Amino acid sequence: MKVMKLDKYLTTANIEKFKRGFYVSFALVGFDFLVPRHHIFFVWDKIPGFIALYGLLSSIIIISVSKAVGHIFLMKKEDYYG
Amino acid sequence: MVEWVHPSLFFFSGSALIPFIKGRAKPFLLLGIPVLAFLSLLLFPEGDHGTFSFAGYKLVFGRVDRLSLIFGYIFTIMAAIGMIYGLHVRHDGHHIAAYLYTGSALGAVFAGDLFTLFIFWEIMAFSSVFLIWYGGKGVGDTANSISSKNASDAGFRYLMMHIFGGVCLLGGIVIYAVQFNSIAFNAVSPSGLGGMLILLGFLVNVAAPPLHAWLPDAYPEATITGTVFLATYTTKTAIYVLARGFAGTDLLIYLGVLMAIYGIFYAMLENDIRRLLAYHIISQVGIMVAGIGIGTELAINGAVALAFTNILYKGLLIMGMGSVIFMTGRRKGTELGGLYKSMPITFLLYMIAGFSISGVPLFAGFISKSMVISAAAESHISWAFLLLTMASVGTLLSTTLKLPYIVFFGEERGIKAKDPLKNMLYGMGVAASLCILLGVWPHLLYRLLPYPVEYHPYTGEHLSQSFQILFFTLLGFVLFFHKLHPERTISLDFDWFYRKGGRAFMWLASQPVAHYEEFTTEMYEFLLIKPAKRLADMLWTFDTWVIDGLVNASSLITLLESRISETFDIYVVDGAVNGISATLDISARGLRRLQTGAIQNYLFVIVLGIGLLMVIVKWF
Repeated sequence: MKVMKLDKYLTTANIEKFKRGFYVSFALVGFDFLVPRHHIFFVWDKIPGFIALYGLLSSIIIISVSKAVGHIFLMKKEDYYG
Repeated sequence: MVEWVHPSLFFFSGSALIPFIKGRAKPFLLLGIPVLAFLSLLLFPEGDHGTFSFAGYKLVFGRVDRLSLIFGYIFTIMAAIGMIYGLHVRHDGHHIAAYLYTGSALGAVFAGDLFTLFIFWEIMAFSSVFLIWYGGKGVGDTANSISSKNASDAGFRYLMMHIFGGVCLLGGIVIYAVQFNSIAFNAVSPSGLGGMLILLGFLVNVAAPPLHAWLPDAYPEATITGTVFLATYTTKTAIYVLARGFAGTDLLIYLGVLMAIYGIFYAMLENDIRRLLAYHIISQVGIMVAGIGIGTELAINGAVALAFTNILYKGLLIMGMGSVIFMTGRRKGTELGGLYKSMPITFLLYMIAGFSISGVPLFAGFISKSMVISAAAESHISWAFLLLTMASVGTLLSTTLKLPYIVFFGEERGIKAKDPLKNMLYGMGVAASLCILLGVWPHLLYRLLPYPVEYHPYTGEHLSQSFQILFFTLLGFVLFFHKLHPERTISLDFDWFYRKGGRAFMWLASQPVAHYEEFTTEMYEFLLIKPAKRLADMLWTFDTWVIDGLVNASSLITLLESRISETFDIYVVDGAVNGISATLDISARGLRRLQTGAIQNYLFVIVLGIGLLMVIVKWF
């Protein structure tokens, strides 16, 4: 594997590998329909694939909120404290 | 037969020997200390040992039960791993600081009363700060990555926060002891002032916002090995004392979840590779704190199991990134990249830790973190369940995906590096094998937990959920990859208040305070200095005229007296002496005239004398 930026890596032929990765992801959600539920504590525990959606949503929230708050307010130049 | 030997004793007495043992024996001493301490934990029975009576209170140095033992095991194991990783460091002070720190952490864990706990708590703060200061002194080849001033300042800020925590703790202990007439350390009620202050002291060490900033501020400035020790003991000792004293306190659920989320959001912004991991310490410790707050048997077990495994994989993460800094001298994500070819073993070991922390099945995090999250579910605290799950997602995003991508892949920067020293690799190897061992054999850990365990991590639904989260976070990472490049920035945190606050104080001193000071100076001058000057003048006059006059007069009298005596001496005494000699002289001159030498003159005088005698005889 050559060392290069991931976005460049994705634009080349390797996109096929990542497509396979996505298929695995969706296969996991499909599998979740079949898994027997023993521990049901919340409403969403019955919904197949809920946790996958929540995982994706969380990562989007974490990335966008942290970067937004960071750029608006928190991130400063490295010599900020002198 | 010895009843019990305190495990700290091995570390304290062993560190006293470190300067005297040289050469090949040294590694044996350094590694023998944690091994002996670990064996002593296995050998001696549970119960209260080393109890003393002091001022009417009972001091317990060795409360050995399931909760303290499991922390004792992992603390000694990690001391051995950290020391293997740091064997190449040729600096006795560094080893001594590390072992005093380890020993005092063990002392705090086995303390059965609050007073003993406080003593070890303070030794912990004052020994660990040296690991930070040594970072700036270039100990363990840190000279080109850590500036001396930064390390020194961060060390002082670290110490300041811990002294604040220590003072809260001591105040709380005193109030608590007076109130309940006991210093035994069991469940502490957080309702009274004493209990609240004790909790505040613990929260400083557990790095709960807003008292957390010392952790990401100071840990990345410590030595490469020092950070491994720092990441292990302070926060996990605090987890132990919280589990002992404040299990089931609702406040801790809120604080723990806040910490878990806070840490991952800050980690997303961070460019310094060890500071990024330091924010993840806050996040992970937050999950433990939330578990303690939930307070059910499963939750406490989960918090303790997470502390145990976290010490291993967080140590391994920090050792991995420490090796990168050690070999390259660079500490920023923006300056690193493309190291997977030159440091393949480091990359592999780092990824084992990364998989562990993000809860990939068959690694240590999977069997421990999920216990706390399941406990939140069993207690029907939905928001805690969702936010803690989000924290897991964030951990996977930045520690396991973003950071290794930036450091080991990313942009090729032509950095000349290779895998670090053998002892460093061995240290990391031991930690990595333990991460995998516990992942595949969770019962090994579960049978040590404080409560009996009914938890089975490898169920169909748990595996299904874990894989879904892992893969869809990976999907999120790939989709939003363009947002995740590191940036040359630092992030404001609560340390701003005392870093910029110090400067605000200086501004206050130079502006309003200066005016105030001018006014008060004038008032001072008018009310105090001028009267004082006048008084001084008066005293001066008195001094000149009276005291000096007296002194001068007495000297004049003395002078006069000496003149008189001199005159007397010259005229009377000398006069008498001279007078006698003059009289003799005159009479001698007169007598000389008489001695003419003419016989007729003598005869005449004789005849005249005889005649005179006859007249005198005839007359009388």
